[in-house]
Amino acid sequence: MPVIPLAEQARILELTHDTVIIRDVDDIILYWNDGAEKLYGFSRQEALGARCDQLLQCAFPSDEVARSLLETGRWSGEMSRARRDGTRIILSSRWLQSRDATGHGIGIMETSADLTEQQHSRTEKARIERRYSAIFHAAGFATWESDWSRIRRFVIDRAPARAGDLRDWLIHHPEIVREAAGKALIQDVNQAALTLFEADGPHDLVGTSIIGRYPPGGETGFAEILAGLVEGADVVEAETRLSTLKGRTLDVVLRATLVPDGEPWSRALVMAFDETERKEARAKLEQSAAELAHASRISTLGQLAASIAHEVNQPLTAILTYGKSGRRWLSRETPDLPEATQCLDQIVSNAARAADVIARVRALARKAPAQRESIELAGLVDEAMSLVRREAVAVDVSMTSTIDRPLPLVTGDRVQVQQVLVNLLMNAIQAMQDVEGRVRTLRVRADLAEEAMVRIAVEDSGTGIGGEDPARIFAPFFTTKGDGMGMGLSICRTIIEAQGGRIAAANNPLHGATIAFTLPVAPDQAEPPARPYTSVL
Amino acid sequence: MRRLPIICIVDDDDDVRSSLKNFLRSAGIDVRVFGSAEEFLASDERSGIDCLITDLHMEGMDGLALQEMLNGQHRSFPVIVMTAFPTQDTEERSMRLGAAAYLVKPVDPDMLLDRVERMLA
Repeated sequence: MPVIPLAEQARILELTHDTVIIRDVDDIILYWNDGAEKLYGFSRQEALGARCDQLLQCAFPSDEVARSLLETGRWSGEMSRARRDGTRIILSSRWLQSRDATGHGIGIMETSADLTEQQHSRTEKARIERRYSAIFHAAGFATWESDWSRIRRFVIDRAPARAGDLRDWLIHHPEIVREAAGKALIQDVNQAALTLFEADGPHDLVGTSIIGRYPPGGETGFAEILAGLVEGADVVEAETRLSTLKGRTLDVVLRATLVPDGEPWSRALVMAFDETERKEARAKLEQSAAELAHASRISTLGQLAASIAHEVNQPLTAILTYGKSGRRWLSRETPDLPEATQCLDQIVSNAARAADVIARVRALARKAPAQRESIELAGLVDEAMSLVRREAVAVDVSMTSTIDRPLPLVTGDRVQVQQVLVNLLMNAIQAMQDVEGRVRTLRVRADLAEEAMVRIAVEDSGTGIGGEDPARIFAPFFTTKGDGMGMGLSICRTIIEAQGGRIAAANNPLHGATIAFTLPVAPDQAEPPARPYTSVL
Repeated sequence: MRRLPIICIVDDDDDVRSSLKNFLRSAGIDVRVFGSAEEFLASDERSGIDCLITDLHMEGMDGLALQEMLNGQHRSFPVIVMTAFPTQDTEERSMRLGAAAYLVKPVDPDMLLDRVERMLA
């Protein structure tokens, strides 16, 4: 038996840490080195003479092995075996067939190395990469991976020495931001990013920097991101604008995440959420709200037409009368100049009064985008009350206002706020016109409510709001009037909420209802001491 | 010499009131003005007047109620009603209460004076 020569050959492998096993043609183990003892856990005594396949529960591609041995006399590949404690391990194995003079195999010498650890981490890494790649490419939002390491070096290099100034400094140096953005190198993009940027394929973007995608003036958002990352954040989000390859401008929210790998910032994962449609939808919504508000103002004006006519009629009557009496004073035998002069003065002041009314009406009918201005509420309340005063008188409603003075200025659109108040007053007056047997009172209160808000409440002594939920009166198309569209209060709510306030309705304990809205105190308004002041109109 | 005719004006609008006062004064009439029906009723200046000109829509007692009140007191002078809100209803009611005229604002003062002078003649 040519066993000895094989064992002789094997001796030179004693020193290796790998396992060396020699088995005969019947798979009986003839040689078992220290490495094998250590790896498999069987001692040499236990292993020698045992069948290798039984001892180690081998699993290997047997057909491939047989073919390879037959053709070349050797095989190398991966296989799995069980250790003494039953755990399975993966091995990288190399087999060499010993043959006799006639070429028949007489035994196998094999050397194997444990792959389990290596295999595990490699499999895991591949799995993670596959998962990352799958998520990256399948993500419904535009994502790209960029190497920003040069951006980092550039920003750190150019940034001012004093910490904390970085954000401001970047925002005020768009040219630096633009230059920095030019140093990014897009490594990979997903389908959604191609769609977002209207690119034909990855080649349009990969290998370029993002700089080409920043329209002029779009640097601020990127500056925010850079500042955040330099300050140590791992994830930074900012709103900015990007332009597509076809030149369309998009409003996006960019989220940049640094993936720790290699040089700092060498893997920046950037996601973009397209806000364009949302913003456009919002703009459309605001436009239709403005149109509705305008329509509603016009309809309020229609309801007020008689009052307005009266408001103009009074000074007109006075002008006409003073004009004619002036002529009489002058055409006397001895013209009475002082009387005539007084008539002229009165004509002028009454014309001014008429002009005021016209201006007020025109302001209410104005169709313009909402303004943000500081509003002095006491004046606004007085004006709104004088606009509806005739309506109130006509149905015997007495109006009072209680305004905490000094009241801070509030922020909002003066015309719209006045429209809301006129609307609420008209509603209250109409709610009381059929009330009998008690005084019809309408009270407007304005006071400092919660933190930095002023509350304006309209209280009536009408029949109150029927049903369980007073808030439903703010729903569109809610109406109690036979000819009402039911848009008034719904628009009031839209207007008030657009100015950052809230509107609420509640029934009073005794009679009637109170509808109150809040408006934010204008910035830089110190909280003044509240001192109640009552005026009766 | 015949005494100056006395005319009272009740209107809650200061400017309308003063302008009419000025105009009628320029025509040589003794004019007394009141801001409300209540003020007029409470005044002792209303005795011996020759004509009352009143607005219809006023806070508190309105022109129609004033007419009724004066009818109840057996008034001896004509009443001219003015309004910026002319309606068939108020016109009929005013006339039924014996108004000498129902005038729509802005009232032409010459026409008003003409009415007054014909009434006083």
